[in-house]
Amino acid sequence: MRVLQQMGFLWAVTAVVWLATLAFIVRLVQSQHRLHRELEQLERALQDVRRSE
Amino acid sequence: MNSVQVFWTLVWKDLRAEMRGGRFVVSCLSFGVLMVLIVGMALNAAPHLPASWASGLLWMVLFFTTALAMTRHDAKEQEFGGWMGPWLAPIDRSLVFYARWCAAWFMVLVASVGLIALFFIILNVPFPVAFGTFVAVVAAGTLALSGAGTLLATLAGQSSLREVLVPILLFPISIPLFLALIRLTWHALDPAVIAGAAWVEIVGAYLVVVGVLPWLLYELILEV
Amino acid sequence: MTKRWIAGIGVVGILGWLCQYFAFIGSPPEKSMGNLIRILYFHASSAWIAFLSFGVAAFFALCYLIRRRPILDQISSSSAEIGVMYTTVTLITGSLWAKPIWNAWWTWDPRLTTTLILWFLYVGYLLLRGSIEGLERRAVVSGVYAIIAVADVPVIHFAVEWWNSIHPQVIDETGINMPGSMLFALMFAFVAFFAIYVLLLAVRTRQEAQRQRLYRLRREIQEVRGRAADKLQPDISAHPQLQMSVPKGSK
Repeated sequence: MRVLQQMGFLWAVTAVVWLATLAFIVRLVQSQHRLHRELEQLERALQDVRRSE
Repeated sequence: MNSVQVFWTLVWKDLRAEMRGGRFVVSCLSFGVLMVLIVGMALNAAPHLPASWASGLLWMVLFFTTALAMTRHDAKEQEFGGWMGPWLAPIDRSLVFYARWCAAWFMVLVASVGLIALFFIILNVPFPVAFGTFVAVVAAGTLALSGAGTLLATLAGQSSLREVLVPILLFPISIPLFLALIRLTWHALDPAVIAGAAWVEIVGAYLVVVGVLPWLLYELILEV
Repeated sequence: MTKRWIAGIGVVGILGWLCQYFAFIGSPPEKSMGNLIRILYFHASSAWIAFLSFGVAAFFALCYLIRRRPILDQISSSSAEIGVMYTTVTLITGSLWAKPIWNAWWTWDPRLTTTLILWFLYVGYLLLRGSIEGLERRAVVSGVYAIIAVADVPVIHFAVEWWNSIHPQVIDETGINMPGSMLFALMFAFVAFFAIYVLLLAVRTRQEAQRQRLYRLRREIQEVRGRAADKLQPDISAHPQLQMSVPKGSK
């Protein structure tokens, strides 16, 4: 019983460590996507400016 | 004008702006007294607080009051770009910081005198036994606190979260100061408790750092 | 995605698995704590990485204030962000470790308290950085704050240790005698975490650099459009009274 409980805490710690790393990476990927979208918008804006000149 | 005269001119400018209705002292005092009242109710009107609790609560109230007041210290200067005036003066910019710190300290001190008096009355705390020590601790503590607060308020000055951010930055930065002041006040309330020289050193270190750091950094913070 | 990135992720993945192996299987249980000692490998490594990343953040902030290269600021802020993540992990794993052995989720242990204050310091940093307009102003202000914060950490630790010395020490961690295999597992975990840190820092810094470039480009386009609009509008400088109410932040 005691060993089982200890293993529970151990697995919780492991989960926290790797899930936190994963969450950070997921957030990085998400903001990279957002950056990509903004870049596309910027391209459109550039074309818009070029056309108006 | 030499720099000492400029310094006093700047301090006097802040104090005069306050006397013309800056409401720094009034808001400080009313917020602080309100907190004392709330603390008294939260403790269920306890008739006798232990000296350690009393000193902790006193500094908690003073910290909150100062931190909140710091955010609006230079609000008057924002009107019509009044803050530009001191920047245009041909003096070292850190002088502006020292003047602002001195004025803020003076106002905090005025507010805290009333605050502390009401704290002792409302919470029924016995008069500090070592009164001289108590006065010195309050003076040094508010000096260090208002210095750190002025510096951080300048750092957070351009932030859009400024009102919240100054307390959030000030509290963790000055935790050692907080602990030291509580211990020293405890010692002043009850001289049987030995405070230890290390706490005096911490307060001194804060004063030195807050005194020297702006001299190095203030130009840097304000250049952009 | 280039080959370099794939290789980096592969190496880090393998290191992570090996770290997991050494922590769970390759090292012996401890005599008083049993299997719970295995938490140490994750907890201590993330704490070290957290401290390391704040140190790196302050160092690069100092470099930025001297040299004024945008890349230094990007490294500094990215490192601080990763540091906050690892401090969070340290606090949670520490809490999970304290519960079974000290029978409390939280104690006023100096190291614990210092770490929590550290977390608040750098959450403040992220809030400060996130709420300031203007790339250069933001970099200078957050750089100054990062240096002040790191300088404050030893003082906080010393003060908290002093403050709490009236309480009995719950556990003396230096008392744990580590056999070689445990030390190896700990060092290996540290190396693996360090590799992850370096990879995350590289990716995050690159992203920050891209974001800042995008920001600059946007400003430029805005200016171009403004100039185009000025050609159509009457010249504002002919009417000085219109310029009186320019708000302060727009310089």
